[in-house]
Amino acid sequence: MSQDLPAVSRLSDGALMVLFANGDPGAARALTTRLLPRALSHAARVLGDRAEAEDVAQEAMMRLWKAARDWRQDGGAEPATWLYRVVANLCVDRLRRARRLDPLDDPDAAADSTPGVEARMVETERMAALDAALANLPERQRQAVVLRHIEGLSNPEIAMILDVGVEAVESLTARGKRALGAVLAGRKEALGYDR
Amino acid sequence: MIDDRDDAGLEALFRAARGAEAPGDDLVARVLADAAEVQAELTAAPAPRPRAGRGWLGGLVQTIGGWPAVSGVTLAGLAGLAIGFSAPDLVDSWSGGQIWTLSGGAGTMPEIGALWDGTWEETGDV
Repeated sequence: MSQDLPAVSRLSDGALMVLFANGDPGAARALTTRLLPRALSHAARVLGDRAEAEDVAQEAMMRLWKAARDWRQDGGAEPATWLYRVVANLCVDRLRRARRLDPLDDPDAAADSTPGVEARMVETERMAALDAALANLPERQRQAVVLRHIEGLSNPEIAMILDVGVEAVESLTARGKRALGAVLAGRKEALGYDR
Repeated sequence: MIDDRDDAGLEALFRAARGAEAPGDDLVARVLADAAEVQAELTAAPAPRPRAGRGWLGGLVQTIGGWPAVSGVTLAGLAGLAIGFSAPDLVDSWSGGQIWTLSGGAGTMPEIGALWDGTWEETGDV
């Protein structure tokens, strides 16, 4: 299988989807290497929970595999954009379900974790603080901020994923970033702002 | 309001978040197992076969919209025939007397004998 990787690594994601549907054994690994980290990162930041994010990423990848049979290489959606969209929707479903189950959930709870002394613990705390701050944002703002500032997608790509216009994306990311800054303002020292 | 320093701090935080969630081997293994399962189904399932060839009648029926359309057309034809035979004067009155006029007085229901002795055709203007 490893011998297939150099050949498939030059192919586009869409071409890999077609290869996957045709039974190519290297296509799944190449697509997983490229797309799974993005799906997981997106889900982890939006959900603020690693285990939930892994479930969402696995489910999204499963849907990607199942979509391979009907994938059109020309003119169809980009697999990465398609996957982000699936992840976004799965995250929204989970957030809404969690809100119904636990309406008194404190979004700042994760930020109250015991501060560590080692660098790894500091990083973990920073991510926890970021996740807690992101949890304060409305769903759409949170998705837009994560996709723009962490996943590094363009506004048109985000517009396709969230099914809104580009101007709406600009507004969502601007308002989201402003709100995030306000929430994190009180935690500058812990987050390394003042370093 | 976010000042430049806060903005830089946020950007640093975003940078730290990038790639912070690398998938573990266990997750990769689960995803690849899913892929193998789906791929086996995809390659095992025969491609959908085109339906067995339809005869000329089947083709004609499909052209006009399938058997439901055929039954609709048939029903409309039968209804028209029944109305024409049972109440020819009614049909003529719907036409405003045009059928009577154009037929030269033969009307919508000529005597059956007139059909082969030629009198209906000769008296008609059409």
